[in-house]
Amino acid sequence: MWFKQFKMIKCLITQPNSDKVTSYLFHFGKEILKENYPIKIQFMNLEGDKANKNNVESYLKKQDPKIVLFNGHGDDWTICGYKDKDLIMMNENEDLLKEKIVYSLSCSSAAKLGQSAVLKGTKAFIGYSDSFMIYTDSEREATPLKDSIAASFLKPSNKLSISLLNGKSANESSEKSKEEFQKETKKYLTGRLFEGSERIAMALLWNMDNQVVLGNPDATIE
Amino acid sequence: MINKMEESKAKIEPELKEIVLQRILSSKLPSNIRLSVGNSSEEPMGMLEMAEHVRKEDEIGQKIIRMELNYLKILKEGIVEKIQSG
Repeated sequence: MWFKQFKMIKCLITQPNSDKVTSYLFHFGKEILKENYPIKIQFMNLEGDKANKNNVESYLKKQDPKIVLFNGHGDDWTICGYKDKDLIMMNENEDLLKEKIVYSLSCSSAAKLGQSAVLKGTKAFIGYSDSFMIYTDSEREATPLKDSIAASFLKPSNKLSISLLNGKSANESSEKSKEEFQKETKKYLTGRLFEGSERIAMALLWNMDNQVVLGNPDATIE
Repeated sequence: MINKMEESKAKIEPELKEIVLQRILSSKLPSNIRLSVGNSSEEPMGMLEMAEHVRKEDEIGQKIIRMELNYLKILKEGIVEKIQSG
């Protein structure tokens, strides 16, 4: 027990914040850092132009974080950083994710890159097998955290990161995130909030369906 | 896992495309609520822009069609009803 209290886990987090979507991920991602965790977490937070390939590779090699949280754009083969420059690319440097738990909030990176990372030793890769869709309120762009529509998309994602950092398994954390996606979906399905809200439910369900856990579902950070 | 490259190349039935298009055009979602599909578009899209992508069946349009068809499928399977009553 005493050992647990003094244990420290390193977490690398990338927050490029270089366009409207990544600005939303940046602001909501900050909420993850504010949580209280049962284990001491040392966050290595790469914000803005610091979210570049050199820094990510250097941190992965020298600091050996147990968990990596990527926030940004991506595709089947790539996770991107500042201004959509590559951070992790399939068959180039995904072996640096060996022995780590990865959550990639970026489009489609679980489709191919995640699978390749797991084959090369990543404990668990949680991500999306297709594009992450997000509705935002253009009247709230200057104050993303007050955008309740965006919150419906990003809080379920935060739930996953927070759950992993609380020591829950990859599968359990994904389940908690999916429960949150369902809870948010329910709000919009009733159509009571505003006309056309079903479209938001549709995108939430799309993200929920595309969230996948690759590798060891029982993997934890401890 | 489904091979997405093959999936995206799969021909979308014109009738299904028309259903998706009409659902988008008839939606009364407020104009300030806009969709982003990853980094595929510079600015978040309104309904008319979404409809245009669907009409052209470009990369974004195909994703929007797939999202819509996924929703219709889960409606049919009763999953939405389960969520509502859950």
